[in-house]
Amino acid sequence: MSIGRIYSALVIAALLATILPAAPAVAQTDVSIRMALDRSRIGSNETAVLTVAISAAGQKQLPEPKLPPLPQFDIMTAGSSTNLQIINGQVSYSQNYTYILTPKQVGTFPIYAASAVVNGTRYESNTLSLEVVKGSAGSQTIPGGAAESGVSSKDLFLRAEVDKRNPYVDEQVTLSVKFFRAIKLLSNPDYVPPQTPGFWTSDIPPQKQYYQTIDGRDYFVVEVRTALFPTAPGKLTIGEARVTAAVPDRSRRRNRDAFGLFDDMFQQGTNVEVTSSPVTVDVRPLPAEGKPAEFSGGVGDYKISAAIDKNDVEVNEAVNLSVKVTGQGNIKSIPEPTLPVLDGFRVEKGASDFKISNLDNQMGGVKSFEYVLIPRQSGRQTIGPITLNYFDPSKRAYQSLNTAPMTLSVRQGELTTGAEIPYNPVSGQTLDLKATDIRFIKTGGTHLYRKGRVLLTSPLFITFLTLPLLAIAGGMIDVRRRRRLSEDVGYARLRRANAVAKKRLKKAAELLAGNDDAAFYAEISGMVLQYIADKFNQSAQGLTTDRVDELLKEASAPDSLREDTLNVVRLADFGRFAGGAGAEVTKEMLFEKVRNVIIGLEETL
Amino acid sequence: MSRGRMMIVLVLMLMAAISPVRGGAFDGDFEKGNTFYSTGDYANAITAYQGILNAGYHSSELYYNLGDACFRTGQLGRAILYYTRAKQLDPRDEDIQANLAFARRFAIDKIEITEETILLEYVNRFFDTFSLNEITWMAALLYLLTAAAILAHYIYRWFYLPKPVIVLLVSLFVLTAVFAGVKLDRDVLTRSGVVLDQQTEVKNGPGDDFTNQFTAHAGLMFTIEREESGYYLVDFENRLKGWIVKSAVAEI
Repeated sequence: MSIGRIYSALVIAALLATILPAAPAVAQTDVSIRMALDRSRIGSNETAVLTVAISAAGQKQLPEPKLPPLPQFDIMTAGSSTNLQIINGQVSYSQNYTYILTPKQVGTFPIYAASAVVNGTRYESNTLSLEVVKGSAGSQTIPGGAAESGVSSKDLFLRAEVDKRNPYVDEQVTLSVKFFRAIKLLSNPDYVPPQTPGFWTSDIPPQKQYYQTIDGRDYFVVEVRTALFPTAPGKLTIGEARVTAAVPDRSRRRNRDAFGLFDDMFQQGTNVEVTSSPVTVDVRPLPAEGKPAEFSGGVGDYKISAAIDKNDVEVNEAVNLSVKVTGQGNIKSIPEPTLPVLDGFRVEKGASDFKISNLDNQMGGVKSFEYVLIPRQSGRQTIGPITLNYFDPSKRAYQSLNTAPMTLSVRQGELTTGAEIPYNPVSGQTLDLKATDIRFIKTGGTHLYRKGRVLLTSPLFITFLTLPLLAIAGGMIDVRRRRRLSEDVGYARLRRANAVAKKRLKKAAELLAGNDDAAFYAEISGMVLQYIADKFNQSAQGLTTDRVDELLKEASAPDSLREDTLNVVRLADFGRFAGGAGAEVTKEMLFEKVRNVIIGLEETL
Repeated sequence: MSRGRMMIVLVLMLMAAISPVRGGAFDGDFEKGNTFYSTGDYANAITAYQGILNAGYHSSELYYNLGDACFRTGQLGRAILYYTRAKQLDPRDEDIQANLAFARRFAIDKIEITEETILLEYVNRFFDTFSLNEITWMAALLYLLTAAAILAHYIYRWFYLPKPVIVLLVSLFVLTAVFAGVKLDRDVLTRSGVVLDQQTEVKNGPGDDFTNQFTAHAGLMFTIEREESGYYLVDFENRLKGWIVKSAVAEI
């Protein structure tokens, strides 16, 4: 053991000897428990805040005081806080426990003393009473020492208000805490903002100060505004705001004489604490309807823009892409926008930064996201669209915004280093490459033609459509004619007479060359009679030259033709029966005559 | 036979009517536009292409290239307009489809289209796959075959056709004829348009004094119901209706 160590141990021992005897005495005398209500009168649909403070000098471990029985109220624990104070070298600890009392019935109820046992001794607090009236009790009353100082709740009060009771998650709720005072304060008021569990908060500077007249009394108002963004749906409570201020001690002054003026100048006054009622908001969840698949948060009203710092780069030359989201809302919570697939680039994520601003009490600002794009391939590349999805509470709908496309032309650099690993998709993977730019124009020539040409409505096409109909109609007429031919013998004979005559004329021509004169004459005679019989639908057998003469007359054939016809028949008959001898004309001449007669008859009949 | 000869003449006249009247004189302008485009002079490319359109000639390639040039100059609405026209003339061209889809990704307004049944989806795909003239040709061909079958089977009885064949022919013809009619209604008789201005208000009535319904941005497409005092009454795909000033949009 060194000399130094022994010395320091002695010093510590001496110090302990001086402190220790004093400590127990302090602990035993200075334990105090105090209860306070935020107001002494509440409405049946309101709540009162009960604070129990236990403090002791030099005593760090303090038990939670036992509350008196309060059967008329529902009690909710609202947390505790520890304070440490050093006064005149004495360390004192105090622990504040806060409870929220919800009345079950109307009436005036005593609140008996709370108690705690410290170091084997039982300590008790003061007692209070709370009046519960039907409905609303109106503005806050000043608790605790206020009554003693003669300051009423009309002189000094605190009000907390929210602009929305039913906001969406992450929608701004503006909390205004207004400190009204109609009396002079002796010190700067000390403001403790309300507890806001479940909210993300942001102050809205500056404080506003103005005068307001309520019930004929002028108040000086200090208004502090805070933007609150609920982080989860459900009921959230904004705790009480608290202002402590020193006010002139009027109750004492009333008993004084004219020298009170000096008191005013030198008095310390009384500390008065005023609190506001807690405010509950019911936070709505964001609707599921219409929620885009890519939605990942962001509530407010925003705009998105994007810019690149260069438009013309070489392969592997970095391009900075900055995406800016501006607008109103909880800009801090805006998620990163969805970048499009940028296959031609290596994308490095850079910093994201935000600036908060407020415009007309609405929080907002700019959040920027930086990216570094390193082109891997030469050619023209289009970057975008970059999509921002957000929920607009004023429209109660999800919005989706896109940035305008940006064009970047990438040149093949002269010095392409080998360091960059070429872009090769892993084999075996499905390639789902999304386009990065529009495709190039068509350069292979074109077939330009007149505008407004629609085949379906062009008159020629419609004309063309009638052709098959005409064909069908024609076919039907054709078939019907054939059927009539086969059914109507007379019509058939009439139509066939010429053909038969031609056939027989051909046969006659053959006989002319032969020696059978009788057959030749018979053929000529038969042919003419057959022809006429066919034409007039008569029997060829019963046809005499007289009958032929009659028929031709009826048909008003020319006389010469009639003469010729009869003449031919007579000559043929004569030749047949006379065996050709003594014929007036030769066979050749007769044949010629028959032909002319047939032609003549065909033209006439 | 004179009837046969008349038929041949008619068919030839028809072919002449259908075969496009070539605007060969403008091939040079098209090439000029392409050269401008390749050198990055998109504004002059647009002028060159537009000149051909103004002269009354068009083609799917012309609309496509014009769409590209408009896209490059940031005229999203017009790009979508011309790509859509190109697609009407050549519905199966992949480049046109790709660029139209790509350009539409930049449109600010996203309209949720109501869910379609599978049958309707197939019908729509059929309509999107063929141009009006193609469907017309299909119907015309089936019409000719049906007429020939009727002539051969029922009238002249040259050969026997099984009944299902005739039923099939007739029903296919009726189907394609209906399709042609619907396509005509969609492409020609139904007027559609696209927003050209960066943004324009959709109003509750035909006039500036009417209240705004919402803001439409470049590239938003709609069908036109009627027009009144410089405004179109338009329908959007999600069945929303509104009045939109004519100067901010173009008819497709």
